[in-house]
Amino acid sequence: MELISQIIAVSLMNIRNIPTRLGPSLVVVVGIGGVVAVLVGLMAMAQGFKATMQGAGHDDRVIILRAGANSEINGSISFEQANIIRNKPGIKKTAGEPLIAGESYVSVNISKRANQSAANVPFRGVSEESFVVRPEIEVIEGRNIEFGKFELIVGTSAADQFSGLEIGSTLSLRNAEWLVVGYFDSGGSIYDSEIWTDVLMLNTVFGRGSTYSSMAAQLSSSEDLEQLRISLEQDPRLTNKIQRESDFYGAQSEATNQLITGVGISVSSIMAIGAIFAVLNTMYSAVSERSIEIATLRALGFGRLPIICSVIVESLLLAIAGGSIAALLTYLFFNGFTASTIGTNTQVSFEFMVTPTIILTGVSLASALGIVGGVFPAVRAARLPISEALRGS
Amino acid sequence: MKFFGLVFASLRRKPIRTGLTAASLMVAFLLFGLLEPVVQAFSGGAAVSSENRMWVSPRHSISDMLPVRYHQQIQRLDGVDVAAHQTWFGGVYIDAVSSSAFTRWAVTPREFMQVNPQLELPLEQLDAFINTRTGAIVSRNIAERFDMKVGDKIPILADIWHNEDGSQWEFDLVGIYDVIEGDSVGANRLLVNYDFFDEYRIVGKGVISNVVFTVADLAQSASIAASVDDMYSNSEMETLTVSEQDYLLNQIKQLGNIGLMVRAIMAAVFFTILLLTANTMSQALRDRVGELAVLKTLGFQDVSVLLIVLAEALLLTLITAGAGIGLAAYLLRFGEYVVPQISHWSLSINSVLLGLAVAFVLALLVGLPPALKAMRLNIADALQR
Repeated sequence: MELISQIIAVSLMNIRNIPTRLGPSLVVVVGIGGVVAVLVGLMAMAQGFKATMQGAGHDDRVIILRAGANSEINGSISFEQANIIRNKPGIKKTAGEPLIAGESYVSVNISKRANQSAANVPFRGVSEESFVVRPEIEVIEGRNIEFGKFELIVGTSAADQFSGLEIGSTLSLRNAEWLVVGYFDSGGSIYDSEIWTDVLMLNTVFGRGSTYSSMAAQLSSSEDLEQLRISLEQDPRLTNKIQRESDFYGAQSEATNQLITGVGISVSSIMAIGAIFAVLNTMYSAVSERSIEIATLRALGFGRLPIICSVIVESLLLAIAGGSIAALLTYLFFNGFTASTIGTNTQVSFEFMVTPTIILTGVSLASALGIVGGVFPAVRAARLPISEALRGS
Repeated sequence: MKFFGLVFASLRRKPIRTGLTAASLMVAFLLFGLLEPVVQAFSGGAAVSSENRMWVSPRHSISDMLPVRYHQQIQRLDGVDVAAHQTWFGGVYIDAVSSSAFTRWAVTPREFMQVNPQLELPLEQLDAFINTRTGAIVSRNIAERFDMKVGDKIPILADIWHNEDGSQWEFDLVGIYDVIEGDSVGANRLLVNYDFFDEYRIVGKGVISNVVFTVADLAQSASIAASVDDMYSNSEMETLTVSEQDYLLNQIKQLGNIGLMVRAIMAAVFFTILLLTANTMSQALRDRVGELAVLKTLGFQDVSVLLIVLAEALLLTLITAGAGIGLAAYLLRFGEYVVPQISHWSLSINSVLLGLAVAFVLALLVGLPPALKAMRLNIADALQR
């Protein structure tokens, strides 16, 4: 009990002293804040990208591609094969009609608003079933496309990022004029970065003939994947592979996520080392400035442990303050910040997401750095020879 | 020079503080050295290309292909020196991460090596590449990274170009090329023989991704580009002809504000650590005002005192900056394993000089205020403290 009250007494004394040593204390706050800000920012970027890529992924939806293709842009399924696939077991039916949509996918060059340079924008040809398979798609402005016409609807993120996609404007692609008739929203998933049109119009203009790039289907239940997979594999007329939509988009985001995470972890760990040096410096000088004070306490009968704890508590508090301020600032500035980058082949827009888990990770890192940076100076404080320190040498 | 003993003595005065300050400075410059290639990669500084190479691409979509006859037609245009063509092969080598370390292209060996003189391939290997149907060549850094040797079989699993036997392709490595300094286009590539590729692929025979040509007269490149695009306007497959530099720059722009973000983060990282260090260093100098007064009492000139204080700051920053950047240069060899997408992992001389310049400026910023104070110091006042 005595020990605890000693620890509290000395710690409070140190904390009350922080204002007199504002400069060096700020070094700890800013140093650790910098590390946490970088970590939180990069994690928020990776998290946002992942959420967008996987937001499209539902466990009970599948994507069917040609075997060997790992993105829709490389796929090709002939209309004959598509008709065979339509009647396979495991696909959900409403009113006797299977919920499966043949789609074509190309990338088109459109200028980015930000720098007016051409970017690869995903251009998806859809069937009427596409909207049933993906019920989250909602036309939020203008109207949906009429099939059989050169009309487009544009995802909300694509409309933000690329120029010339206002409702009513026309887009000239491959000797055809396409009219933008509406905007659609899919609740923040990757489809928001796309432009949609009638698959048959896209096929005609882009010389796709009678093939789809991919098919999207709704399973009767998420367990029916194996049944459908086996049935596709055993059919000699087909050379297709099937993937859950969630797995498909997970794989697509892997390389970019690895890039961001790789950079994030390397940079934050090196920064963390630098920050520890800064904390050590500050705490060592705090201890040496206070050596008379500490020796007096020891002479009055305070034990070594309360002295050690008080130094660690001080550095921990400064570190947590730095970490929390940085996490908060990162949240205020970056949460919801829209970025766009090139995904596997085409542009993907996404929002930074500063989640509670990320903030917790940042503050935990700050605490760890605070403790590590406080321990050595604390031990030194406890070992100060009392008589020498009191003489002020 | 005779004052070096003094400078060292003051650095040794508080060894822990000096050591920790040096360590955090070193970390700052280590980060600078490690991140500089990343910044370069995002700003397009890494890919230095030749000014007289032009790329012809499909105008509307990267998923479109040009008919191979465009190659001969462009070759015949006035002002075109040599034209070659290249086709994006894609495919998977080992796994997705390894595959992202380099790109794979089908090319016509002779013309391609002519328009890309920065790729140095021994003559007998070039002959082998021309004469081996299943031949392939690779840049040296990739050969070293994946332990490929001439004579090896290179398996690639197709994702776009399937062949008569399915999706498995196998090439014979017949050459390893070096990329000369100053023009890094073509680094991190595996090149395979177009004729074999075209014969063996099952769909899309006779189509290519780009025509790449050199112009005899640089001043004419814009008008030649326009005449290529005019030739194909309103045709089935319209073209867009730009200089190689613009093409590569545009690819980097596609990375979008992520590049900007990374650069902002780099700047934040560096300046945070520098500010911290600056604070500690100037604190250390302020602590010594009394000693400086003693020096002056002993008859040191004002300027000497100024220089001694500055020398201390310079010594500390330059040594630690050198050590940090040196360590970064060493660690960069392993960069491609952490971030395989960036393959040009090395520090340019300019980056090193930039780092040292930053160290110099830092030393002045940190050292000059206390040094000036020391110079103007009134001995009596200082000794009284």
